[in-house]
Amino acid sequence: MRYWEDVQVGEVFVAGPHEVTEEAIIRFASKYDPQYFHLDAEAAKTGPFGVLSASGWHTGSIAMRLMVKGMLSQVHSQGAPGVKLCRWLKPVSPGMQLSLHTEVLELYPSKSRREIGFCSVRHLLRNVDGTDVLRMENVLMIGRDPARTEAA
Amino acid sequence: MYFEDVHVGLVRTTGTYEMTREEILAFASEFDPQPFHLDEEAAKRSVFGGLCASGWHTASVMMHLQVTSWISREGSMGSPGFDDLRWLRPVRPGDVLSVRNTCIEVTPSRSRPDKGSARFRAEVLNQNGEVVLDATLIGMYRRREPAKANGEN
Repeated sequence: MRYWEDVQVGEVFVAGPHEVTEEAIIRFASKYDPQYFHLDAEAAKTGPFGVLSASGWHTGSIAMRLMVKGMLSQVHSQGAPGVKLCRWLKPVSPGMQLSLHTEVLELYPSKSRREIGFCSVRHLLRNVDGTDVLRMENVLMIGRDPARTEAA
Repeated sequence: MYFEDVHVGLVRTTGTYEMTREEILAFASEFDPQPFHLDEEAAKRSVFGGLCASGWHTASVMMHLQVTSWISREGSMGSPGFDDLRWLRPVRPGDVLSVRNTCIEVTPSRSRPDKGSARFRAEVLNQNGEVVLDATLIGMYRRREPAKANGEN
């Protein structure tokens, strides 16, 4: 398990692929985003995306799952205060195989809490054909190494 | 709701949604399997001090409340994304959430006379009236009447 001190600016964490299925799109949308273009393949043809597509919150949640798999399960994750920016770039449709690419942009210590450091990241969720479907920027909180924090 | 129905200062509120332990665990198992969303004991030792919902779960419930309260089939054209989403307080099992949404900007589309977009400040509140999440959301809308080329309407 890596501490904040072990993460490097420029490092890229990759996880996936995660296959998106029609069943999963409809199941998520039924519960959290019941709009017809997320629920009904026929009706979606006349909708704004022209195809059955995943709720953006579903796509974001898939990115979250891949973030845990590729990065957060390998560092002392302490959560995140939020998401600075999220853009749904393309409709996410059944059959897509999505991988998350997370690049570390900046690392800085917390002034108020010595036990954590901040890690600013940019995520791209990419289909197997190379198309980016989601771009997101946020700041992660990662536990610091007590030994090295004392020494600093 | 169509683009013409949205104006700056419009405030809307939703019904309520109870966050059960079962649903918090199910969502986290599928999308955010970190110890503080899955394991009561591990969560007590974490920064959150107890089991709490995935932030994406809270955001998804925000969407549910908005869709079921006011988003219409006719007018809604989806969204390009959101900005500045903050998870301000942990959401615990048993919390009852609702949404307050204030329109802060409306922009007719320059290229599409049949469309427009709007930005909203959305706040998710718990049963004590505390804001647990806030964010700037963007909505795309169909217009009832296409905008006129000379800028009227």
